[in-house]
Amino acid sequence: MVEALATGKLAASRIDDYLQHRYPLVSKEEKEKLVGDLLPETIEMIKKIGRLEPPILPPEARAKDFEPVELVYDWEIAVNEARRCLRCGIGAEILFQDKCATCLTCLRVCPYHVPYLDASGTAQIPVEQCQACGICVVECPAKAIVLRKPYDRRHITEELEHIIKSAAESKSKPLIIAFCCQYGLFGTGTLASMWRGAKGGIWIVPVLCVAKVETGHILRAFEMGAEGVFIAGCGEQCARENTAAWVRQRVEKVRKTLAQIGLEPERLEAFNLSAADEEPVQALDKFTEKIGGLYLVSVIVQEVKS
Amino acid sequence: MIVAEQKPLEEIRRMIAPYPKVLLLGCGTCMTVCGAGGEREVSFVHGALRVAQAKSRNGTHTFSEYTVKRQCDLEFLDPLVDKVADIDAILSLGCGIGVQVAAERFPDIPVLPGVNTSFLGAADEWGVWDERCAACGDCRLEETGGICPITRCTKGILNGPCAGTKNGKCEANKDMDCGWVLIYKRLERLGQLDKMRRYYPPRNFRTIPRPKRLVSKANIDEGGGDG
Repeated sequence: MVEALATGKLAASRIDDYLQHRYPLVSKEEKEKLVGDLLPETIEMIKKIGRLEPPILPPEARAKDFEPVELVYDWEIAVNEARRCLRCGIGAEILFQDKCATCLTCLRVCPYHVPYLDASGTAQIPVEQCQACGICVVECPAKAIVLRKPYDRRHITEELEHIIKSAAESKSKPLIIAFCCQYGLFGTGTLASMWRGAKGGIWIVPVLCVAKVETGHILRAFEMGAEGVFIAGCGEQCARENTAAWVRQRVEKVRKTLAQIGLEPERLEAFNLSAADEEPVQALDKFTEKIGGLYLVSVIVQEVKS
Repeated sequence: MIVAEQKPLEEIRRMIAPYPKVLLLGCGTCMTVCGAGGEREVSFVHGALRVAQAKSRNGTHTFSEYTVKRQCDLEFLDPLVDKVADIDAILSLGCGIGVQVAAERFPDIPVLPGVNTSFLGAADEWGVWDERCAACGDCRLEETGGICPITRCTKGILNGPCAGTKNGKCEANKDMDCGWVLIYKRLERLGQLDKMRRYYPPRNFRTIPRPKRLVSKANIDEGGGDG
């Protein structure tokens, strides 16, 4: 695709040359390859998601007027089509090589086998290979890896702070903060109505892939008064490899810590809601109910103490 | 590399209880690699302590965090001088060495250990660590095919295997390879099985008295001139 664009641009400049009676500049022909090829092991791990055709007008309807035959995508198809994004140039980079302890965590956690050690023993993440899943960013023990786009780096933290502020103003209790995949049911399906707003005390932090949610984000939510936190991925539709397992890793780690603080580990839950699931609403209702119960208990205990 | 694990949060909270202002000090070398006390873990512990404080509603601690490249050298701690001016205690997520060097660098501030330093080891896979060296000061790896009987054998015997080996596993733990079977296989592969037939005299326990000191520089008399 990138090369097609480049070729198109080259063709345009050739036409321009021709129309203006110029000789084409030779150097333009000796362009080096723009993007390196993906490694076979990377290609193997990338999920192949087919194109979704937009709906078209039936022939009877077409005959009557000159309206476009291809209709626009509806919301759900548009979001699912967006899963096919190639994520060019938005991947991870080792921004702080001085912090990097070359622990090889990125090499070991990358589902796509992208990071490598160069001849001098320095870890490298080639930009054109990276699939931007964000797992190494979250797992890097030195915090040396970041996503290349500053917006992507700040996204979850900023959304979380925004939610905390809004929730504090609304004073609805108990506060539940949810990190939800924007591609999943919160972006498209049955739960989309909860988008950016509280419903049943649930405040949604929209994330582009739950694998980017850090333990620090979860702790921050609890610190700022959340009675319960859950992370909801997009289930089997996920365009990535193994994101649910990484979420569970982090959830287990924070749960252990919550228990040591004296908070019930059930306050933190990971859901993997896919469209095929019939009970996403029920699962969430159950969670909300549980948190409500725990909240009541804590209020009573507090009052008994005072 | 030195491998450690974080202390339970209860223990950390108990240690820092008397100190209102605590600096969390990470280490960018071994503790980062083993995931016990790098910058990520420093902020994790920081976050967890803040949650604990928010939920117990009676905390008055203020926390700050900093991670140095290597805590076991005094020079790396120099940039901290300003940061610790009004600090009541340092919670070090460095290994036992890091804690002691920090204590030496800042003699007026209590330095508390945030991790339990466990062993010298290597990663088996992400998040799994195995002990590989006991730092015994009397290395026999040449004779044992590059596999250390002191750490890989539960008994640490020099003339193995013992009678407790079964199907290549150790009697102490059925999932654990018998170190001496590993040694045998490796020597077989190298064509050096004759090394199995040798008797190894007891270890040199003279290297054990502590604290050990190693001097690698030549002992040059300073007034000696160029002789």
